Amino acid sequence: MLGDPSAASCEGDVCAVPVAAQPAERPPAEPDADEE
Amino acid sequence: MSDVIKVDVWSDIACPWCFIGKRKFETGAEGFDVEVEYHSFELAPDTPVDFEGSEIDFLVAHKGMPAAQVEPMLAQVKGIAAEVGLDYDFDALQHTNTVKAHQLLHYAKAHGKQVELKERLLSAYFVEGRHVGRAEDLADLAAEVGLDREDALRALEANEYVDAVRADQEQAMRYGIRGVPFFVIDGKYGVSGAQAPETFAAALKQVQDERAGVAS
Repeated sequence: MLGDPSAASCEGDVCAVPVAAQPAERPPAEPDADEE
Repeated sequence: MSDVIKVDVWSDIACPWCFIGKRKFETGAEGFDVEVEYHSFELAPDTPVDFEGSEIDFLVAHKGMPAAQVEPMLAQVKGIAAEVGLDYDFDALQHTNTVKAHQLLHYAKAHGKQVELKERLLSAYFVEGRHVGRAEDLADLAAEVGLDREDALRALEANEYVDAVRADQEQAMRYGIRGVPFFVIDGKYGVSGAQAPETFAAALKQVQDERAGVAS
């Protein structure tokens, strides 16, 4: 994951204040890896 | 190899940070050749299409948040939006379900107008107080970006793109995306949230440098 982990995002419908971003340190899986 | 960098963005319409993040990304992407594709993410799929009341009412009534807490939070978001040139109007905002809007974004993608429609929907929702949950209202917005209003309406009423919305959401789950906006750059780098423009620029530069290294 790149960037500031505390950057503002919406999770569920909680959007009004900055919330911690995803804790995962790995990038998302390659799209092809999950394709059927 | 093409110099174009593909950026897949998961976001919702009813997501203040998504519009702010969109602006920050656009600033960071200046000077890069990017192709952006938007993907569906419903933050609150249980939201009714027609909610009578303001954003404050929604958060108080549905989320049990005290009004005294909601008002300063929205003021904070409005201030941050203003910093990137967006004039959010939470008093006029019409809270709604966004699944139809997501379907329309897929319709627009099929007709080469997704980027234009995404901007139109976000502005309509956060700045202009337009309704973005009903098919007729969405068809009006589709026409405003040059899409065929009647055909868009037909597609919305037939739920023609609901499977595409669900496919995006399933892809988000596979990626482990729980919050939006979420940017996937060149299919391999994840950037979560409304990051600073410099963060997006750095990620794009990294991809650019990697490609140059491969080519040399």
